[in-house]
Amino acid sequence: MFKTLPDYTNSKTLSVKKLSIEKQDRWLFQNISFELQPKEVLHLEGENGSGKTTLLRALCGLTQADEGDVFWDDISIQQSAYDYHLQLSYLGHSDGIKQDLTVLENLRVAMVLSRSIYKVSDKQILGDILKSIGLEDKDDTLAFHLSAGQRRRLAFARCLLNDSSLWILDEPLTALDTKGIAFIESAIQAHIERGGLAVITSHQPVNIKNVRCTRLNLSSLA
Amino acid sequence: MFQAFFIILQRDLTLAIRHRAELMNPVLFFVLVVVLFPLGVGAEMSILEKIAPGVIWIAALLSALLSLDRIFRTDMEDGSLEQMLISAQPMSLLILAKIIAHWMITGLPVVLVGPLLALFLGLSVDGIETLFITLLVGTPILSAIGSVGVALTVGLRRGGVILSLLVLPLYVPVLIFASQAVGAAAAGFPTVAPVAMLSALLLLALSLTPWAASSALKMSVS
Repeated sequence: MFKTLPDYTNSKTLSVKKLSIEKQDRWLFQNISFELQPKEVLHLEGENGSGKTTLLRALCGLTQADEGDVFWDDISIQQSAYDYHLQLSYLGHSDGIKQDLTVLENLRVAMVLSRSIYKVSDKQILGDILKSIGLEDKDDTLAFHLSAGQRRRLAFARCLLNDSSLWILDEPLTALDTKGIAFIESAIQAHIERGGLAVITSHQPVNIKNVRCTRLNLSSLA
Repeated sequence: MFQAFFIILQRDLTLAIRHRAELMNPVLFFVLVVVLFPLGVGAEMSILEKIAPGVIWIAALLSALLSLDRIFRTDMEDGSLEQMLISAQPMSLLILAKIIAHWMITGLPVVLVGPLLALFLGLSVDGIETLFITLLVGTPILSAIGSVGVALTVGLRRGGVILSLLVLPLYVPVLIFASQAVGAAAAGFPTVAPVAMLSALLLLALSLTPWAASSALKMSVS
């Protein structure tokens, strides 16, 4: 399903300038600066507790930075929150899935929240998305009955719902089987080839071919 | 935009219906508290009639307080709240939908059961009529003010006590005007002034609290 999609039209530069975040009277990290261009992947590395998730949340605007700021197209994301959120898909530490809603209901809520390019009533496209994440016969199953890996796939489906050019993925490969890992890797690759950006944390290797991948190790900065 | 409002409303109502036990909890509490009063005070009609407005309103207030935490707690735990905050939809609108859903789940049953209980307590017909109006206008205020309190305390691990201390003083005006109106109606006096005050409070609460709750949530999440 990725082959047919056109390139992103509003893919911009994500830049982080002198970002510092303090947690419990200790600097989690200080003065982090980097720039991510379209068609680039940033792979965050670091030990448990080195602040990977916090940095990702700061990139989303969920965590306030103590110093420094995050910029999308040279505009602070605090100022352009609406435009930025339109371009952003975030797969967090928790899946953001309601256990007592069915797979399809969860997907519909996500579609409306992200102002999806697809129509909520478009059964064809919903079917395609479910098929691509391997849940085609589970549309009426409560998310409660899904396995951890299936739930992770459903959470990842949010990235496919709208034309967001920035994907921020926190451990996207946890709980996935080899088929699921291959699917997400190919989805990220297609995303980058369309001109997107991705920031990823993962303790497993992420194999994306022919893509400029920068690595940033938070443990070594501390 | 309104699609987002309705899908969140629909989502919260669906979730409530799938948790029937939790759905019954606030209204059951309300009925039990009111039913216990004649047992404690004695079955003398003149006394019961006099305290009926106060008893019913205090019970309504406490039952609202009991169920407040649910507005944002589960969303916080499963990550849905993060997704709402970074969605391309105005957060205050989503919160308004959640406030209304919370009222429909916890307030509306109280509005419907309250007049029945007032009949058992021997309130006059005029009094019951006014009680119904004050409950209808007053209980949404409880949900709206409560949403700010929950938004402020949802990040704390044990926010229960603080929530009560925070929210109860703000509930006092509602209690005073509502029971005053019902008391006046039962005694045959006009009730326009307190009911108008309640309506003003409702408009004020519905128009201001979503913004306040939205800012508070951003702090609680970070």
